[in-house]
Amino acid sequence: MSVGNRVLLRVFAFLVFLGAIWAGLLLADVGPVIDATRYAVLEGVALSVYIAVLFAVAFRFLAFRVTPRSAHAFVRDTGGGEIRIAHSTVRELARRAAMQVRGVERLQTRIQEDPAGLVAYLNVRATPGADLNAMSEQLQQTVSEAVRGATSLAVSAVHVHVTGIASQEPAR
Amino acid sequence: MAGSGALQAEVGSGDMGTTQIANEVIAVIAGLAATDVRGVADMSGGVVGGITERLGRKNLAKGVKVDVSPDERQCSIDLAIIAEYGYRIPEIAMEIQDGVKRAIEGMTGLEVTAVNVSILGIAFRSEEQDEGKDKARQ
Repeated sequence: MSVGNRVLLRVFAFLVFLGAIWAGLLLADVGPVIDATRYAVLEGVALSVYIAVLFAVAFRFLAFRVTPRSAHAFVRDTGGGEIRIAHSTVRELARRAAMQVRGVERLQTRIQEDPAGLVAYLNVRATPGADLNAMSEQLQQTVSEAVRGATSLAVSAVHVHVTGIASQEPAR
Repeated sequence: MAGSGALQAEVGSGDMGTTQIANEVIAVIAGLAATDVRGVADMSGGVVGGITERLGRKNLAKGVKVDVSPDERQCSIDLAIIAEYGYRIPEIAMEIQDGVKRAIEGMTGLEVTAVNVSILGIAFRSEEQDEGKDKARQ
């Protein structure tokens, strides 16, 4: 989801929130709100602007495609056509490899394209008692080998970000 | 989806009449050739394709898009596949390109100008349920 869409979603949520509160106050028979509503309906521009914006944003998200398919992909041209490896594929590969490293409890992966090759970002929640340095080195090695081995893409960097420690040893 | 009947490839026109091949047929040939390659777990037909497949209708042309050139002699194929974990993707892709090209050229006589392969996902064979749980937790 791009930044613009995120902002739009915020705006949408905020407007709906506002509308809901307003409706709640109306239902609760709060005097000033009823007066203000009457005023807005009769001669205010605010209400029509509110509805117009709400409508526009809602329409934008109704037409929103949840998965922009093959939008992000690593493309390579062989003689007989293109090979496109979707970012999601690389992400799944990286995830799979990383989950096998000792000490990884939970994981989020993100892939970016770089002139020098692909860059993987791993957000890791570690198990308690794990050696974080050894774990991240192991992660970098395992992930870059797995991705390079499966896709032949150049892996320029694997960034490991330890975001937290699990509260207890998971039952495996 | 593939071949809604708009453009059809005409592969032969002699004294006896013409031969036309529907895009759907080319798509099925391509789909079969691609799923024959080791390392291809499935074709990726998107959400709608998945639903119709659940309903029991096996769609052999799933994940295949066929473009026939205006002169109806050449075609290019777009394939969307799910690869199997543990295989080298470029090798799978090149094998698919080879196999699909050979199958279509052999069966229809059309010239295949390009076979574009998109790898949209990875399938893990035995531990699929585990994987599903992991995703649900995220």
